[in-house]
Amino acid sequence: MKTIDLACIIDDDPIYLFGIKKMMEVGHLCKGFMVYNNGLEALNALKPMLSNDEDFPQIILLDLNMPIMDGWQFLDEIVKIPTSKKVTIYIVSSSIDPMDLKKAKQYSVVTNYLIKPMTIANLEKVVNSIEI
Amino acid sequence: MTFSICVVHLVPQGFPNAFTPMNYLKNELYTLVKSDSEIFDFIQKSALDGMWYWDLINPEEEWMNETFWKTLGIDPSTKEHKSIEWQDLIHPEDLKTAYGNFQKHCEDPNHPYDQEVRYRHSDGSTVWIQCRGFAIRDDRGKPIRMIGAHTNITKQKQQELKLSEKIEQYDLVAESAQIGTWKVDVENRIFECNKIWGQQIGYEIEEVDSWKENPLFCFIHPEDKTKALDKFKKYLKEKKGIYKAQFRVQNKAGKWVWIQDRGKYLQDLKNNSSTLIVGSRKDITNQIEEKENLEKAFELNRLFVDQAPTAIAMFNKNMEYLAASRQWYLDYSITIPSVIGKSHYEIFPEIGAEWKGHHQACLKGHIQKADEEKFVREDGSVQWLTYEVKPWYESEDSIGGLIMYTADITSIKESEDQIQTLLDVATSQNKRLMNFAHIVSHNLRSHTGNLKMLSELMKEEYPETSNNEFYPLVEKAIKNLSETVLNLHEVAVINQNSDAQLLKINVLDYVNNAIETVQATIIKEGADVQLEIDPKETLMGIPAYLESVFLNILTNALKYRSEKRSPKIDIRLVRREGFSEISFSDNGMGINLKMNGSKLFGMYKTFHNHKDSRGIGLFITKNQIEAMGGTIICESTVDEGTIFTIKLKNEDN
Repeated sequence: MKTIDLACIIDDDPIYLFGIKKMMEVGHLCKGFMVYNNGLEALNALKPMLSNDEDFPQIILLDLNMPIMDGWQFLDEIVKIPTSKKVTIYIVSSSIDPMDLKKAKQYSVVTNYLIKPMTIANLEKVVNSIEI
Repeated sequence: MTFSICVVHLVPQGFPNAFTPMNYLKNELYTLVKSDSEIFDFIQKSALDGMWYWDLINPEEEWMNETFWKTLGIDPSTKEHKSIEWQDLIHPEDLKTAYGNFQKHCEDPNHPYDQEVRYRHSDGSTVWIQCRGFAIRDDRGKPIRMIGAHTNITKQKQQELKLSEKIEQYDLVAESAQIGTWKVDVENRIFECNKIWGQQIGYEIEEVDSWKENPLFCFIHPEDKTKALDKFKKYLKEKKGIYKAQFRVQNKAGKWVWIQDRGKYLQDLKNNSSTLIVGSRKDITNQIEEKENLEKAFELNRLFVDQAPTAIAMFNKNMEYLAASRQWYLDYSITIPSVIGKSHYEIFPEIGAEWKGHHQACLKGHIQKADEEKFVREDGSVQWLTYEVKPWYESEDSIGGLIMYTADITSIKESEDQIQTLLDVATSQNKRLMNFAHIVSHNLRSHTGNLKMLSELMKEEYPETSNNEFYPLVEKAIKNLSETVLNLHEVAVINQNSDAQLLKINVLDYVNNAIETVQATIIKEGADVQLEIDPKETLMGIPAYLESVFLNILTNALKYRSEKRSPKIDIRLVRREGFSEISFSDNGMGINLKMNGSKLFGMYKTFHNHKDSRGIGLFITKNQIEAMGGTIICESTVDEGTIFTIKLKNEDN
C-alpha cells in the first residue's frame, strides 16, 4: 500500500471535498492536502512551486465545472509553465458527457478521467498507480 | 434590236437629183471636191475612221488611207497598199460575212455592203468597225472598183455588251429570288414577262403570249379583281410612288395562289407617247398561310390564357392587352368587361416609372421575375406576389410583346410564417433540452454522486449508523436516483447528437459484435442464433448507435426468453430500393401489443416482471434509430415470440 505525501485537490463542492479528504484519511492514502476552490486559486499557488525547491503535489485531482476558472482553463494555463517537475493530473468530474472524455484525452498532462462519485476502492487504485 | 442606218446616205452621189434643186452650199462643196483635192483629203482623214479603194480587176491592189491603219493602232508607213495587208487582222468569221455581202452586192447593187466586223488592234484588243462599201461598175454594169468607209463602233459595242451582261445578271437574280418580272406598255397593249412570272402560276411564256386579256390580271380571284384593277388604274393616273397590289390568282392546276405585285412607271425614251410600267411579282402564298395559321394559333392561345387558373396576361409591344385570364381580372379587381386592346398603363395609371422601365427591358429580351415580393397596398395591407415578366417571340429573333404572370402567395406566405413560428418554438425547446442534458450530466450527477459517496463513507466510518431498518432503504433510494439520472443523460445525449454524420456500416460485422458481447448468455441458455445476412450488406448509421441498437434487441430477446423452450433467434436482412430491413425474431415470451403497443417504445415502460427491466432500452433504441433516419416496428404474439424490424437507409443518397 502506497501513501502519498502531498495531494492537491481542486474542486468547489464542499461535500465532495469533505468526502475525498475523509476517504484519504480512512484509507491512509495521503499525508497532506492542498485544497483550492477554483482553477485560478490553484494556479496562483502552484505556479511558484513549479520553479522553486518546494515539494510539488504528487497528484492533482481536478474538477471541471468550477467558478472563476474551470478545469479546462486551468489545464490550458498549467501546461504553459515550463518546469522540470513531474505533474500528474487526474480529472475527477461528475460529467459523463462523451465530449468531455474526448477533450480530456487531448491533454497529455492528464493521466486519467475519473467519474464521480469516488469510492475508497477507486482512490486506492489511483494512488497505487502513481510512481513515487 | 438593230442599228441599221440607210446605206444610201453615205454613197457619194456623183450626180445631183434632177427633181430637187440642190442647196447652193452643197453644190459648191461638190464642185470643190472635184476641183480641189485638199477638200477630199480633209474628208477622208477627219470624217472617217478609215477609207479604202479597191481594184477589182487586180484584187491584190488596194489603197488604204492613213486613218484606216491608225484606227487599228498601226503605223501607216509600215503598210503597203495591198489587200493582203489587212486580211490577217480581220476576224475570220467576219471576213466570211463581208465576203458574202460583197458577192451579193456585186450581183445586185441594191444589196448593201454593210456589216460590223472585228479587227485586231496592235495592242491585241478588238476594234469593232462598221464597214460599208459601194461598187463602181463599168458601162455594162460589171464592178471594176470598190470604195469603202470604216466607222469605229468599239465604244458602242462595249456598252452594248455591258448592258446585256447586266440584263443577264438581273434575270439571274430575279430567277434565284423567284421573282417574276413584267412590263406593260399600256397604250400599245404589250406585255412582257420573265420565265418565273409564268412558272408562278404554272404557265410557259409562250402560253402567256397568246392571252388576249392583260396577263397582269388574268385568272384573278373575282373577289380581288375590282380592287386590284382600281389600284392599277389609280396608279396610271397619278404615276406616283409604287403600285402595290395583293390578290389571288388561279394557277393552271386550279389552285389559288397569293400574289404580291409591285410596279413603277418608266419613261419610254424611245417613244414618249407610250406608258410603260415595269414590276415584280412574288408568290406570297406561304406567308399568307403562315400568318393565318399564326392567327389561328393565337386565337387558341387567347382561349388558353383566358381559362388559365392563374393571373396571366399577354401584351403587344405597345403594352396593349392581347389576352388576359379571368384570374387576372379577379386578382387585379378589373371591373370593365374587357381589357383587350387597351393599354396596361391605362388600366393601371398608378404603374410607376420603375415598372415601365422593367417592361421596356423585357421588350428587349430581358426576363424580370421574383419568387416572392412584398407589396404594401394603399390601405396598408400586405400582399405577397410571385411574378414573371418575359418577352414572347413572333419569330426566332423578333419580340412580339410581353407575357406577365403573377400569383398571390399571401396565404402561402402566412402559413410559412406560422411554420417558421412553430420551428422557432421547436428550436428553443430543443435548446432547453440541451441545457437539460447539461444539467443532468453535470449538476444532477454531482449531487447524486455526493449522496452515494457520503452514504458509503458513513457506512465505512460509522458502521453503527447503518445498522438500522432505514439505512438500506436510503441506500436503495440513492441507487435508484443515480440510475435514473444516468438514463436521463443517455436520452438527452441522443437528442443532442441527432445531427451526427451517417457512415456506411457493414451490417454483419456489427451483428457479430453484438452476438459476441452476449456470447456467455447464449452458451448458458443454449440459444440458437441464425444469421441470414450477406457479408457485403451495408447500412447508413452512427456506429455507436447501431452497436447499441443491435445489442439491446439481442439482449431483450435473450432476457425475455420463454421458460418453456430454449431460445431461438433469427436475424435476417432484406434489401429494398434505397433501404434495408433487418429483423430480429425470437421465440420468447412475447408482448401483449393490444395492451401495450402504444407504450412499447415509451420511457420507463416495462411489460414483464423481470428483475432487470429498466424500461429504458427500447425507448433509447427507438430514439437512436430515428436519429439515424430509420424506423423500428414490433410484431409480437404472447407466448410465441417477437419480431423487431429495423428499417435503415442502405445508401448515401
